[in-house]
Amino acid sequence: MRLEVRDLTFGYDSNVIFNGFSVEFKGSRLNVILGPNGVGKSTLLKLIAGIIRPHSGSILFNGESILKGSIAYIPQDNELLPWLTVYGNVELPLRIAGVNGDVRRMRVLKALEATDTLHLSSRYPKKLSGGERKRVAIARALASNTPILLLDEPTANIDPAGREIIWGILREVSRERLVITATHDISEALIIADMIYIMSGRPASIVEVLSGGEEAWSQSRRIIKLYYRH
Amino acid sequence: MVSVKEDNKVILPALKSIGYIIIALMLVSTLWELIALTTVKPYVPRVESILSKLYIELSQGRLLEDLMITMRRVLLSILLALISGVVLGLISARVSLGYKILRPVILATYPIPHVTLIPILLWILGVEYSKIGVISLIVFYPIAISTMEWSLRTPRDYEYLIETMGGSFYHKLRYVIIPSIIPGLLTGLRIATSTAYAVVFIAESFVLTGGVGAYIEESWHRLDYAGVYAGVILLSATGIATYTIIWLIENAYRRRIE
Repeated sequence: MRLEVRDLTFGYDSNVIFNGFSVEFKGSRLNVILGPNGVGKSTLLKLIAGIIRPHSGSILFNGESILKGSIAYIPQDNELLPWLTVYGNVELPLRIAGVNGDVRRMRVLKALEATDTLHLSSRYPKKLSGGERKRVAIARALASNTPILLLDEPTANIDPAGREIIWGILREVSRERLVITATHDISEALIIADMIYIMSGRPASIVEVLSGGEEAWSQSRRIIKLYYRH
Repeated sequence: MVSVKEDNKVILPALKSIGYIIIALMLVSTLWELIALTTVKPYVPRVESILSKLYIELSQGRLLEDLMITMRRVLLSILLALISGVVLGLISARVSLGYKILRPVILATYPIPHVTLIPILLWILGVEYSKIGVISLIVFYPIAISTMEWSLRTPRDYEYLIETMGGSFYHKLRYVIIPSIIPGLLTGLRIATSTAYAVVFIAESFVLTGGVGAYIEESWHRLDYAGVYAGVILLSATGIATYTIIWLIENAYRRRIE
């Protein structure tokens, strides 16, 4: 699995966010875009998800244009529809895709089990903690079985125990999917990433790509310097 | 267990409100009875004679039939206002041209005293439809404005989610747009229906073709004081019942999502 962003140009009015921006992400690993707030991380995820259109450039998955419904996107806030129960939220992409009732039920239950949210299935989102909401959103992505999963600040405003659980789920999920998360949190990138893409701007650019784990920890000083160069 | 707790959160305040209404009614009745006994004026009949008139007219007289006519007019008007208010409210909020042109038109024409249009509507729509027309017009505004405002304040993230799931406009409408405007819509509807019962009286007493409004007007001309009060009580009770039902639905929905 390979996702390529080529020569991307995008901005709002005179504010240029991307000008010939290129980056490549590979699947079966956890890709983390690291950068300070306002650098364009969320905009990049929205462009990849097809929510906003670039002025020019292309975004390809395995060399081809991304098909509708092949991306699961989890925004920083408002990740669940408040008028649907947890079950209803997880079921939604399958309903939209017209998946048969029994198959749908089976996939929803499996996804809820995988994220340890089965016991929450009849609750409405307002009754969930931040971490629980995020886990349900990940369950929805698992149920829809999309090859690409994009998460914007997946653990922002979540307590340490909740973050730990989400990191574990993301590591698991990234084995079979192309997962890209955006974060401003250096420690989170160091802890969970298989690959770290340090983003700077504006116009935005990837200033460094590093392997996660030991390599990233050994270069943490350099990462901090690059992070604050913005 | 959770759902029982949730149900209690809805049912208990509702019972409490009904209790308050009963207490208020008892207080008003007692006060009324005292005034009736002390003033001895024909236009202040005793509570007993008003209630017996109401019972007789409902069980043997024409009041039940009049109530059906009024209800049909009010419900039809609300239905028309609901459809047109939601459609035009959504266009005003979500279509660029609608936002620029329709929204200011709706907001600018809202303060017009629409009841004054009854004579003109009579020429255009005739006797029966002018009544439905004027009620619809008055009910339309709170519904259209609530739809507009609630639609504008719904976070776009929800629609992005549907888009990334490969959903069409129909899916956005079904899973985001309509559910997101329901609380505002119910508030608008609740306010609008209370106005609707006031307007139906004006419309029905303007040209007498049946309905509780016409019954009140006719009773007034006949100096049937108890009849006037019976009509007023029936119209008020219907208005309060409609208001309470909508309020309960609104409350239950809001408790789930807010």
